Order: sequence, then structure tokens, then C-alpha cells
Amino acid sequence: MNIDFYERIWMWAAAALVAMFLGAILIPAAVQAIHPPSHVETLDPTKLAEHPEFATGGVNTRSDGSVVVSVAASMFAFTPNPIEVPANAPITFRITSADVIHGFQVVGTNANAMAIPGYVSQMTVTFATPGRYIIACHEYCGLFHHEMVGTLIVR
Amino acid sequence: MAGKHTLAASHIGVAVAAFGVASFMGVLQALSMADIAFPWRSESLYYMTLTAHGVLMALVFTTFFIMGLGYVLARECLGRIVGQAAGWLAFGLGTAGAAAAAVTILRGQSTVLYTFYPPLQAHPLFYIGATLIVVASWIWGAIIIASFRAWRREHRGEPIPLPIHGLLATIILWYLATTGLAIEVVGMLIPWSLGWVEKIDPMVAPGATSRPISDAPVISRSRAKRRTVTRMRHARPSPSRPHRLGRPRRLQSTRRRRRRTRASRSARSA
Repeated sequence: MNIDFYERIWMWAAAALVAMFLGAILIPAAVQAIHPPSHVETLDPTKLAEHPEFATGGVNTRSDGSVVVSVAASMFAFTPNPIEVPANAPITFRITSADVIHGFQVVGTNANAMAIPGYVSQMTVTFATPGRYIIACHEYCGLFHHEMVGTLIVR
Repeated sequence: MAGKHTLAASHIGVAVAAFGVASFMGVLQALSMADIAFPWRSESLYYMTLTAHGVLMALVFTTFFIMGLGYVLARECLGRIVGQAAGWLAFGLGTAGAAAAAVTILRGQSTVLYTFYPPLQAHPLFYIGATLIVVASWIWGAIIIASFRAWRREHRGEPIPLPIHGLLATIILWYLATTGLAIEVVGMLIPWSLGWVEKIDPMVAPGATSRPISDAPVISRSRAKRRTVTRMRHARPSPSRPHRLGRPRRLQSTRRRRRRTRASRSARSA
């Protein structure tokens, strides 16, 4: 089949762009282990009030110094609030939702996940700088979405 | 006798009408956020207008405008459109769907934004209306493809007109993109909003699953844990840039809020 010279150039250019974009996703995923903070861990969102971990949420320190923070998001608050964690220690956030989809972003950092009812989103973050951080819900969740703000205190 | 572009003009007419309503909604949205004494400002007005603006601009306006443009291009480049009657049927379905969805939004029954992530629930007619718009666009795609095939039979060996090449690529992408949406809306959201099924899995909805990917550079626990920690050391608030969310914007005045709190407190003690 005869393909015009210029057409050939554009076809290869388009193919190179697709390869570049796919590479930009796949290479960090493989080399830097970047992946969405959703692993398939499920629970019953209607029974969250009786859940041993998420009924009150909380900050628990393991024997090796790492910290697990369990957060339940619901309309229109994060539980617990405020959250207090140590600086320079790996903090594992475990986040779920009691009702609709919420967001969980520690503003100014790259700690960012969705809180999906029925699922646990998990991510590990180390905060180097002590201070007060804002936790923002960044998924529209209802009429008071804009007031759904929590506080993270890093000491 | 209808003009040669009547079908196209009808689509673009609906698109422009949706654009007009959406623009007005945009103004209301700004007024319900701005720091001025706008008497009707409220959370529900803000999010209702945000939904209407998004749905009418991003979904209705674009879809109808592209359908109209497609008919113009097909008519001009291919000489004729095969299946005009089906085109009018699609136009009727799509317009009825857009109107139904718009009415439920404007009545405040479908304040779910144009992303409509479940389990945030809209009125059933919102989902049915959205489905009708998509079905209309599928019929439109089939008409363009049929018109192209008819043209091809009469013009063997001729190169495809460039606008038609682009149009066919658009239609292929559109079919790919809307298939998942149609499965979500018809298979999950419509039965759920009508109460036929009790609960749905928000993770299965394409909107919800595509978002964590866009929210990516979160580095979760993983085999590359040490690298994770060193990268995360850089996580700190940037003092140079004041956070937009630093002081949550209040939609209600403090006085109104205080009054509300006081009212609920006295109700509780009573």
C-alpha cells in the first residue's frame, strides 16, 4: 500500500506520542512502584459504627515505631479529628467512608486518596516538617462538601 | 421542503439553548459564591447550578454540537446523508433526554455534579435522560458511518475527505468511551435509582475507578518502601503559597450559622 511520505511522518509521530504517554504511566508504576492507593480490602460500610478499627478511628503506634492512622470519612467530617502523628516516622493511613465517596488530601503534600464506601484505601507517608496540615475532602460529597476539612498535627 | 441542513441546525439549536441555560447557571453559581448580599445564596443553589452548568455545558452542549457539525460535514463532503428519518428519531430521543435530565437538576433532585459518582444518587430521570442522549449519539454515529459507506460504494479508490476521516475517528473513540458508561448507567445506576437493587459497588463505576489513577502520584506501601520514604520526606506544606482551602469559605454568614447552631442546641435541650 502506498503511503504518502508526510502521512508516514505524522503516523510515526502519533505512534511515538502514544508510546511516550504509556511509558510515562508504566515506567513509574514498575520502577518507582507508584500505584493508586486502592488495594482490594473490603468491609461493610453500613456497619462502620460497630467496626473495631473504624468505629472511632485512631492513631496506633506499632512496636517498630511506625504509625497506623485509621480514618473514617462521613458527611461532612473525618473521624478522628484532629489527627496527631510524629514527624520523620512512616505513617500508614487507612481510610474508608461510611456513606458516599469522599476525598482525603493532606494539603500541600502528595498524600492523596479517595475514601470509597466498602473499601479501605491505604498509603504510607513520612512527614519531615512538623506543623498543622489541612486535610481536605476533594470529592464532591453533598451540600456541605466545602466545609469538610480536618486537621493533621505533625509533632 | 426542509433545507439541506435543517437536521444539523436543529441539533446546533439545542446545543446553543443548553449553552444559554448553562451560562445563566454559571452566573448564579458565581453569585452564590461571591461575597455580596445575594438574597438566594445557599449551598443547595450553589451545587445545583454547578451541576446544571457542568451537565449542560460539558455533556449536552458538546454532544449536540458535534452531532450537528457531523451532519453538516457529511452533507457537504459526501453529498447526502443516509437515514435522515433515523436522524430525526435520534434528535427527538436526545432532546427529550436532555430536557428530562435538565428538569430534574433544576428542580434540585439531581445535585450530583456532572461526574455523578455513586453512591451519591440522582433522580432516575437524570440517568434515563443521560442514556437517551448517548443512544441518540450512537444512532448519529451509525448514520454517519452508513453515509460514508454509501459514498464509498460510488467513489471507489478516491481518498476519504479529511473532515470525514476525522469524523469517523471521533465516532470510533466515542463508541469506545460510551460503552463503559452505558453499562454503568443502564446496568447499575438506573435499577439502583429506581430502587430495584438495594446497593451498588462504587468501585465498579468507571468514574470512580478512573479517578484514583488521576490522583496517582500517591506512593503507597509497596516493595520499594525505602524509596517511598525518601521521596515522601519532601512532603511539606509550601509556606510561599497560601492554601486556598486554608480558610474554608463560608457560604452562609457567621450570624446565620450561629443562629442555626443555637436553634439546634435549644431543640436538643428541649
